Amino acid sequence: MGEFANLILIFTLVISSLSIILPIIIGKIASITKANQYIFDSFLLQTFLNFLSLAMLIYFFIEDDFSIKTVALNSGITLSTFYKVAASWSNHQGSLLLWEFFITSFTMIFFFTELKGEKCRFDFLYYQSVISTFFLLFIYTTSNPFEKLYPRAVNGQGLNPILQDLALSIHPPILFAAYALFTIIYSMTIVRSDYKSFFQYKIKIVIKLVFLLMTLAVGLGSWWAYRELGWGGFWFWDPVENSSLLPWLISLALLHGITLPQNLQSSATVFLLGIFGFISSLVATFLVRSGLLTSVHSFATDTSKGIFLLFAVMIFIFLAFIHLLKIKNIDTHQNNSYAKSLISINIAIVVIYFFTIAIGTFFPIAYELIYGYKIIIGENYYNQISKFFALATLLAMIFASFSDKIFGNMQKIQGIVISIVLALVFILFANKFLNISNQVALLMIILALAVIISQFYAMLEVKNWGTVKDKAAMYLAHIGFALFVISVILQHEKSFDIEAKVQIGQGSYYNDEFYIELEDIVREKNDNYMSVRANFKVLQNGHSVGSLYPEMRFYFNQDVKTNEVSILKVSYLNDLYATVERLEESDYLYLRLQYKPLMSLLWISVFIMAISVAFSIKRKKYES
Amino acid sequence: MKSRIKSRIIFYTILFLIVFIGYFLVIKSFEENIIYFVTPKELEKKIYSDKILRVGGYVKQGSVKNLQDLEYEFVITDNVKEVKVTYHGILPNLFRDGQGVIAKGAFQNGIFIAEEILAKHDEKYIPSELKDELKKSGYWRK
Repeated sequence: MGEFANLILIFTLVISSLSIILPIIIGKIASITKANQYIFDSFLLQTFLNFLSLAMLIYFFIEDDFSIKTVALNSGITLSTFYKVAASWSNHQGSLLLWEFFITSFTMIFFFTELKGEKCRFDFLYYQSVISTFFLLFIYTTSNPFEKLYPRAVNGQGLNPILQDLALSIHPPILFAAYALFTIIYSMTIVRSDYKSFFQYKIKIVIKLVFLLMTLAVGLGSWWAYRELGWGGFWFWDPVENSSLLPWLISLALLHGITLPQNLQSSATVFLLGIFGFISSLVATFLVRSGLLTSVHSFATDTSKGIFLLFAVMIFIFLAFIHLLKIKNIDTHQNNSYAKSLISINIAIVVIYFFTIAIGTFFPIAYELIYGYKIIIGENYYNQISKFFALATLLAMIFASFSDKIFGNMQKIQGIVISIVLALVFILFANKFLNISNQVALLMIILALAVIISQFYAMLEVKNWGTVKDKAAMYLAHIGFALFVISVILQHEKSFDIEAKVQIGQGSYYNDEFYIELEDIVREKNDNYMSVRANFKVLQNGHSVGSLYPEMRFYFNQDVKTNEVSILKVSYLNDLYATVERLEESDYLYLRLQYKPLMSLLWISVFIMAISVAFSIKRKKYES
Repeated sequence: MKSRIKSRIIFYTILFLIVFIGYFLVIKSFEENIIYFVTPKELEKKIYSDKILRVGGYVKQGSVKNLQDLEYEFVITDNVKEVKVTYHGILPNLFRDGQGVIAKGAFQNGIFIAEEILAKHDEKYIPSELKDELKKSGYWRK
């Protein structure tokens, strides 16, 4: 069976390589129509074959075929069927196959639904074929999922325990779906520069979908890190995390870029963004897989994969820039310079932020090459920079609330002033309870609140909602971002992190508010791990609010210790986060207790940002 | 027409200001936040006092001492030179004798006070920085 799957992979590679050369020859010898037909047939076949490959890989995982190396390394007999399926794309090889499958199938869907009767169909499929061929070549030469294992393993190594999580099981498909859609944006960007202008295109839907999926994927990833790693944070400015933030930022800039009225500058901007979206997703993979950077998230690394990807990045940039000069000037004279300026400012902010993150992430590689010293860029760099960018973004958002044409100049000024004053007054009162002394933090909370107030203020003015669906999505997304900032700031200012030795039967106060008592330590031996579970009674201001059950596990097979975090929701949105340490038999253990105010709001706000674009997706109408 | 030029000037001024302030902040913050990675051997050559550093190496066999609750002392070695490290807090999951670790902190009176012991969430995983160094000194073991 393994050999058969391998043959299919080779066959797909041959088909797709041929579709780069043959259509051009057919076009020259026979007719363009024949060439069109050929490339379409060939792409449809590729899509089907990719589906077959992926289905077979998943089948091998479900059936525990340990003669396949990927299966033996990432799955085990005791794993449940759900995690066996998830394991098939949690690994490097499987995830690339999934990516390739998404590229071909989404291309077909886009082709059928959006490109009916368009002249650019052939060119589009041609570029997608080039990308698909590159991926197949990459998969076959450096990361073949169907590689054989001699002799066949009796049992697999099992899936890393911390990967056995619902959020992380659906994280790869969502992320790679977004990355696959980036290829469509890339090809369409190039192709459209040859035809009419970029904007009238249905590519808008794809850009919105990319933003939705990217936000969900990054959100799920950090939700997983928060619950599973036991460090208590949700973002560590790790190279792997940064590399998922980079394509997200591009999708954010694109989302704003497509609302610009079309002219030469805006076409060129979106053109560049569209290309950088795909390139940054490739670079992200390059970063994760090459092992050039030290990450707290361990992944299988192999430098040859990295070099291959770097080479591809250069080719794809070159391919794109040939077309940059072909962008035509179409001025549509839509004039709302207020909105236009704001969007340009947004793109400027996002792009500069993109490069600051990229510099921080890539600089260590360059530094080592030049000076020979190994360095990392401290977390502080990102925090300081992000503060400034968040302030600028919040300020721009207050102005953006009144970007609709219905607001006159006076109304704009009135709305902006009222929102800021209201927020200021509210926070001055609220700070008696909050006690935030950091002035930058206070300023950010005031601005974030002003964003929320200004959005509602503007919404009250809007009479006809039918025509401003896009605006509704904007209001919602901006409110989501403001809530995100508020929860991050409050967490930064009001959280605590205490490590202590605790004895059975003894309790103590934490931060004067929480009384926590260790009731019991339970030691158990399971099939594949030993567990030590502590049982804490929690009282908040003298009232019982529940229990915490943090746990430590030691997995024999993998020789891994893991922390099972226990999270207790106190007063709805706040988290009490506990981990314990000490495997040895004793009547005490070490507790790490963290208080995370408004943690749930953070996840909700990310979800709001993601889902908001769904409101602006409309298929039928698109202005020409 | 005049108002259009005026609004353009305002727009480009704002844009320029954002770019300029952004650039200034980036450069300033960047210089402050470069953290060097060194092995015990390299500490001989250059003196890094009061500066936040990352020291990488193996935990020397039998060197871990539990001074009191959550107060540890141990030795990081690259099999050439050694550095004494103290750490207050819960040691990460993977921490044990002979394990590759990275300690972030600063020197005080010749002792490295670690504020963070880097935890990798895979016990077989060795940071690439460390791997290179160990390969160089010939102590890399699979």
